Amino acid sequence: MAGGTANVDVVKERAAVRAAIKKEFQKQVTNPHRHGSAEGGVLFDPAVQRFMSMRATRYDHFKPTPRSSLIGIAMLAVPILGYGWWMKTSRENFEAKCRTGQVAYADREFKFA
Amino acid sequence: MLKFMLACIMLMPLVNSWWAVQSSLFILTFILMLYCHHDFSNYMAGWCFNIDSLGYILILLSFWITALVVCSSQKVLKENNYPSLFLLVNIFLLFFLIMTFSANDYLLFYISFESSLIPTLILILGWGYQPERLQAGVYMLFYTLFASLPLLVSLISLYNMSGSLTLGLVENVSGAGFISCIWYVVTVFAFIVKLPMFLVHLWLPKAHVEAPVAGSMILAGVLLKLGGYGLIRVLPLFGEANKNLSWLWVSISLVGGVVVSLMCLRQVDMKALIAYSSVAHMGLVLSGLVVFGWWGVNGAVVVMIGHGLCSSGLFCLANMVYERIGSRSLLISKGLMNFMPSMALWWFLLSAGNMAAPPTLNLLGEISLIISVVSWSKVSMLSISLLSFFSAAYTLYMFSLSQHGKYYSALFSCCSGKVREYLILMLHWLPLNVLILKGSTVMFIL
Repeated sequence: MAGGTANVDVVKERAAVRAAIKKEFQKQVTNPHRHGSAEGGVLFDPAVQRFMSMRATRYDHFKPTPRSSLIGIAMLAVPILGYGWWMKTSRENFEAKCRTGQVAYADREFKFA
Repeated sequence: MLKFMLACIMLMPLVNSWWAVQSSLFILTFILMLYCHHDFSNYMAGWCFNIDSLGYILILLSFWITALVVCSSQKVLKENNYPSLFLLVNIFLLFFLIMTFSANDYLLFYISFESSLIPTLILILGWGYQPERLQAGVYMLFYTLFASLPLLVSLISLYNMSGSLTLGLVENVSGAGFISCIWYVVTVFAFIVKLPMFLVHLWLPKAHVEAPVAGSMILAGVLLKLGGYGLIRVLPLFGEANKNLSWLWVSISLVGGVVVSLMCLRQVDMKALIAYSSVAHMGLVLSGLVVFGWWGVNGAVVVMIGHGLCSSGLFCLANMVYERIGSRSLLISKGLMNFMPSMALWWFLLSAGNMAAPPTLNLLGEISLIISVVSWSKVSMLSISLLSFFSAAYTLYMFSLSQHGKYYSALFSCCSGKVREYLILMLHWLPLNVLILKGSTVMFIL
C-alpha cells in the first residue's frame, strides 16, 4: 500500500484506539459479577442501540422534500397506476375481441379457472 | 355453535389456573376437529350462528392458535405478570373470533369484527415490551376503525335495500354505476385495511413488532384472516362493481407486495421482517380474492390457513430468540445454530413454509392463487414472479443471517431449546406440512 509518514501515524493511532476499545470490551464481557447474576442476554453496546433506534424512528425524522416526494411518486404511484392501467386495458382489449368474435371459443385459455 | 361459545365462556372462571385453561383449549380444539364433516354446506345452525366449511376451518385455526398462544406465553405465568388477566383477555379474543367466523348476519359479523380489536389492544398495551406500543396500538385501532365505520354505513344501506342482513338473503348491489362503485369501495375498504393491502398496511409492522408473542401470534395467525373472510362474505354482493374495480386492488397488492418484499431484505428487526412478509403474502391473497375465480378464492383460503400457521410459528421462534438474547435485532441474534441446532431445524422448516416450498399448504395455496391471477391477466406474471422470487430471497436472508455464521461476540449465554418450545413449533409445523396430503380439508370446501 502506498504510504508516507502521515499515513503510518494515522494507522498507528487507529490501532491504538481499537486496542483500547477491545480491552474495554473484554473487561466488560468477562465481568465475573455479571456472570454470577445468571442473567442472559448480550452486553449492552450503545452503538448498536443507536443504530436500532435510528432504524425504528425513521418515520419520526422523515421530512417531506420535493426529492422524497418525487421518489415516492416514481417508485410507488407510477408503477401501481401504470401496472393497473396495463392490466385493465389488456383485459378490456381481450374482452372486446371475445365479444366481437375475433377469438374462437376453442382458442380461449383458462376457460374453467 | 353455542356448544363452543358456552365452553369459551365457561373457561373464563377458570383463569386462575393456567393449566386448566391450557389443557381445556387443546381439548376444545380436538373436540372441534370431530365436526370436520363437510356433508352439508351449512351446519350447527342456530338462530344467528352457523358454520359452513370456511367458517369451520377458521374457527379451528383460532382455537389452535389460541391454545398455542397460551402454551408459548409461559413467561407471563413465570414472572407473575397478571397471568389470569392475560388468559381472560385471550379467551375473550377467542370468543369474539368464534362469533365473527360463525355469524349468520352481517351486522353481528361487523360487531364481533370490531370487538376483536379491543382484546388485541389490551394485549399489546398490557403485555408489550416497549414504549412504542402506545403508538402501535393507536395505529392499529384507528386504521381499522377509520376503514370500518363506513362499512357500518354500507351495511345499513344494504339493510335498507334488502330488508335483511342475513348472509345469503341480502340482494346483490346491481350494476357498476357511480353509487354502486362507491358502495363497493366503502364496503371492501375495511377488509382491505385489515388484510392488509400495501398502502394501508402501516399498522401491521408496528402492531406485530410491539405486541407480545401472544399478540403477534394471534394477529398474524387469525386476525389478518378476518379481512379475507370478510371479503369472501361481502364480494358476492358486488359482482359488477368488483369486475370494474378489481384491477386497482390487484395492482396495488401485487406491486405493493414486491415493494414490501424488497423492504424485507433491508430489515434488521426479526419481527419486522416477518410482519412485512405477512403483508406480501396477504397481497397475493387479496389479488386472488378480488379476481374471485374458483381457484382464487380457494387458494386464498389455503394460503390464509397456511400463512396463519407459518407466520405464527415464525413469531414464536422470534420470541424464543428474544427471551434468550434480549434483542430482536438480526445483527445481534445471529449464528444461533451454534447454540440451538435443533431450533435451527424448526427455523428451517418454518422458513421453508414461508417461501411456499413443498410440501406445505402455502405451496398449494400459492399455486392456486398464481393460476387464478394469471388467468385473469397474463400481465400479472411479471409481479407474481418478482413476488415469489423475493419471498424466497428474504426468507433465506432471515434464516441464514439468524442461524449461520459466527455468533455475536458479546453474547453471554443462550439456553438450549426447551421441550415445550419444540412442542409448540411441531404443532405449528405438523398441520402446515401434513394437511397438503389431503388438501380437500382446506381446499374446495366452499
